[in-house]
Amino acid sequence: MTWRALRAYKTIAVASVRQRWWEAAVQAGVALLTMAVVGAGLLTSFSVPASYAVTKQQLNAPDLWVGTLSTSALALYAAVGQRSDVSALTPIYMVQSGVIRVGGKELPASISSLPDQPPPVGSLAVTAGAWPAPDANAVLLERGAAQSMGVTPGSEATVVGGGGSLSLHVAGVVRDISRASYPLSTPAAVYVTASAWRTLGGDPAAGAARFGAKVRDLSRLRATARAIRDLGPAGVPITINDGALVVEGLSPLTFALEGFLVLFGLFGLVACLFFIVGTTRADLIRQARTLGILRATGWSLRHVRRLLMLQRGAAVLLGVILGALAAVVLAGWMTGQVVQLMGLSPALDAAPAVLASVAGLILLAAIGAVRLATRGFGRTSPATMLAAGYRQPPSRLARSLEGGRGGLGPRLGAALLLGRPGRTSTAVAVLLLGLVTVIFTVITQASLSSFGSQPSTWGYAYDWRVDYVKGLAAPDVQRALDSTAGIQGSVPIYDLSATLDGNRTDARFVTPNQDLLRFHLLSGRAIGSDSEVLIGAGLAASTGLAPGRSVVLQLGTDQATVQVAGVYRELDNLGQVVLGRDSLLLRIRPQATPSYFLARLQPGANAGSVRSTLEQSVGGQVVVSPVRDSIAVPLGNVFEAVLLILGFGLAAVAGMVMFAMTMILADEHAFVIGILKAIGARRRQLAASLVWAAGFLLLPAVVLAVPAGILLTAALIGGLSAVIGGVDAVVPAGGLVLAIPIALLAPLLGFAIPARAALAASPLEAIGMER
Amino acid sequence: MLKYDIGSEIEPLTVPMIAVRGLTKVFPGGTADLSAVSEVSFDLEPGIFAAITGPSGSGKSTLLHLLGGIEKPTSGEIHVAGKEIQALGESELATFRLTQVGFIFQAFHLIPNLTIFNNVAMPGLLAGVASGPLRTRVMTLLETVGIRDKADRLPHELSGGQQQRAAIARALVNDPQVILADEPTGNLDSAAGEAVLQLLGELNDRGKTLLMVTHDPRIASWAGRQLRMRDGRLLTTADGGAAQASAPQEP
Repeated sequence: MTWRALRAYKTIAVASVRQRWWEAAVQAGVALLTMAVVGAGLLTSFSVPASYAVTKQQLNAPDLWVGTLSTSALALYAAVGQRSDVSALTPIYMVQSGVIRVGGKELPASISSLPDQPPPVGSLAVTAGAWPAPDANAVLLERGAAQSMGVTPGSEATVVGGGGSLSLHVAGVVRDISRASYPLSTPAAVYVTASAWRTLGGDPAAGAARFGAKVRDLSRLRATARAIRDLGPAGVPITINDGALVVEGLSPLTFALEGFLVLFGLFGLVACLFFIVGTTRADLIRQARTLGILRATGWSLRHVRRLLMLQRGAAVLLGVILGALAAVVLAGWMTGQVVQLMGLSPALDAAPAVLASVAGLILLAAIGAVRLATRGFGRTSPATMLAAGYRQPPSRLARSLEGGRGGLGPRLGAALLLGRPGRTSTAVAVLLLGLVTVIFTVITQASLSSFGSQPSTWGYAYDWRVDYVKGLAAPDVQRALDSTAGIQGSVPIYDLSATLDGNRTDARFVTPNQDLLRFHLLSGRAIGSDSEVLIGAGLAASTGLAPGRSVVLQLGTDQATVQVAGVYRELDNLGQVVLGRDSLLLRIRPQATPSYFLARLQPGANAGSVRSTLEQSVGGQVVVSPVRDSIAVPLGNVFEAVLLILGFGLAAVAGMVMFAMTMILADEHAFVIGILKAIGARRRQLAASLVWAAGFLLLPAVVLAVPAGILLTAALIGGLSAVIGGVDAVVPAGGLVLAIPIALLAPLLGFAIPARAALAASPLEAIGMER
Repeated sequence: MLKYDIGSEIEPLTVPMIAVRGLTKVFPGGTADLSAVSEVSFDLEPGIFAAITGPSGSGKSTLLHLLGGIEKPTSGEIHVAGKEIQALGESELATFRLTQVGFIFQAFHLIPNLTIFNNVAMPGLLAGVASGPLRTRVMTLLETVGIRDKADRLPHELSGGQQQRAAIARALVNDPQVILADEPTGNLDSAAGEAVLQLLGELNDRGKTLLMVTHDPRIASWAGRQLRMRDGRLLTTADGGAAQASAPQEP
């Protein structure tokens, strides 16, 4: 057949859409949602590294960062600057730890010295305010920290360093692509002018320093990094961070959240396929006589199949195009949310290729669904299709009635459904899938909420993180915590900078067997002895370290050989963490003191008054931060909102499909209802039979959907957890009890509307309703 | 090349327009198979107006469906316009239905969501007839069957007689050599039925081979030849000619 036959397809398709536009809308809606979710998830995952590359180019940022002790920094800086494979250096940034307080809020801070003017090679970009003059008493805050504290340029801040505290003018807010934004990376990054740095003072020997370098040949980046590491004098730790670690380190977090998106997208894709198959099959059954007419007047099976493919293809194509636009918007927003935490400029990448691939997949699924639904169609002759609706149903109906038991209502209700077994089984299948979709959405939402509220390994059963100013002794803080009424318990946490197998990382040491600490092991096992450590997934990903490896753990000039027992999911500091027992730390460095404490309040305690009491007992030299506020994954809330919208969208599509399916079924019963009315059946009897029919239709769907939905979703989330770790399926009984009846309203309405019309119509009108 | 003049003359053929040999159709049933058409053989020359008569359930509609290629035979041979249709594949059979025969049904079988114009035009659209000539052809046919003013209406907005006229126009749009009509007046009142028969008679006068199924002897009398069926078997022909040797005599 030539392309000229397209006019015939178009004529039929346009008439169909005019009469039953909602069927095309359902197909388009499902495709739109699938495209939006899958496309957005993939685009975001490609766009995060692309954003890093773009921002790095914009800022002329260094290719790698070198960290060392402040006392060794100048000599190392000079040596690196003389290397032929290094083209440029940033200024040296001296670093010390401290605290920043603004407007009644306070955060532990990593205080750095600021160059006199923006350097030609750097990682800072002022987003609000201005770069301060060298002699001004001013500070720049990293954007995440500024947002967390609600600080804008012009505020006054108190910065506490090793040598005392200083009141500083907040000159501006900066993006810093050398590290993730607060609170993903703690402590908060604070940059002070040269004069402020001198005033803050502190012990230079206790400080650290870092500087960035641009290399001439990026393909030799790692080799250059190794060569720089070898420049340092023996015993002096040198850490190299090639910048990409920030992106790679963030990947466990983004992957986890995108995993939910991909889960939604894949489920949506599969649901889309089944919905298209189901509705196509129902459509074929409903249109049997029309298709019979077409075939009797010269249409071949191929024509019919092409017509159906074009009808669905057009609807799906429309949905895919709109979905692609939605995916770009959604991905742009999500990428923006992700990369702003890293101080990056958002940039979408690989959009055409990704979108074309997903769109192709969805279109193929739609076309394949039509082929599947029309398989075996050729065995039915045009004459049989022309007779559809006249012969078989009444005879089967009669047989069902003869063989049935019980009252007239249930017998007739069952007979109505059994009279058209093909339609009934299709309807039950679609209802089952629709309800499973709703259950999937409810469980996934609950699981994501749970994932967001317990995102990491430590401290989540605690209420406070208690930092203390270095002038205060740790035992005094411990005593204050023990003696303050309203505090149920507390534990010391040791956080240090370390080098593990030559890689710069944070090291955290905790008291073993604390029942309040949670570990989401991704591989290996928990720590069994002092010589074993766990490493965060980010560190494992960036270094390739795996359970069983023996490595050197270096803390300043002290070191020990330890074995990696396992890898765990750690979102704090992007998983660039090694975790060991505090007894290991005290063996390596006996004089170590806790970095901060975690404290848990007694149930019902007044947090404000307990905090006030604690602060007074130590002369205000502690910083109390709510654990959940400071460590909660900010992205969790963002993605939760996105997935909530998508979940409702998916559930709405399932509702639409279920509505359409039962409407087709009840519409066809109008013919039988007309016949029954004509032979004397009373309206009440017929209404009762329809209620029974609806019940018979929905009951098996509900009975099967609840366990199937729970098991399927749990299995899918289990699969996701195997990849990213630590995602527990949460089945909210209350949510399901509420959601399932709401979801059932759609098919009930779909059934009730045509059934009611048929009951109200005269027998002849009802008979005429059959199409 | 299709001819669009309703009055186009058909070249006289030396072979029968319809030739049936040993035609049998068995429908599988739950408890026992149903033999709807059994060992039927006959010839019809070009340009004839023939009627298949018989009581309800005698297999006359099934025979017409087999001749029109909308049902496949269990065994036997069917030659229509020189084509051995039981040997045609699905696609060739569709082309045969599109171009060689025009089918008229008792229940009209118009597509409910298409206008009368589009219903009539549909076979022409599928055959790839250009828009201009097709529009002219459809409007001429609607004029001929007397419902030109109903072109933009939907089927349910027309009376039964008008719907059947639209169905006749649709059967003619690709200028087929053979018209097959299954109880074309079965759903019509006597006046409308008379008008439809008049129309069919005119088509036959202009050279179309016409085979009509009816159980009404009065309507069958319009035909030049009658094929009587009972229990799936062909009994006699009403023009006095002997039925094929295989056909049993009516008791």
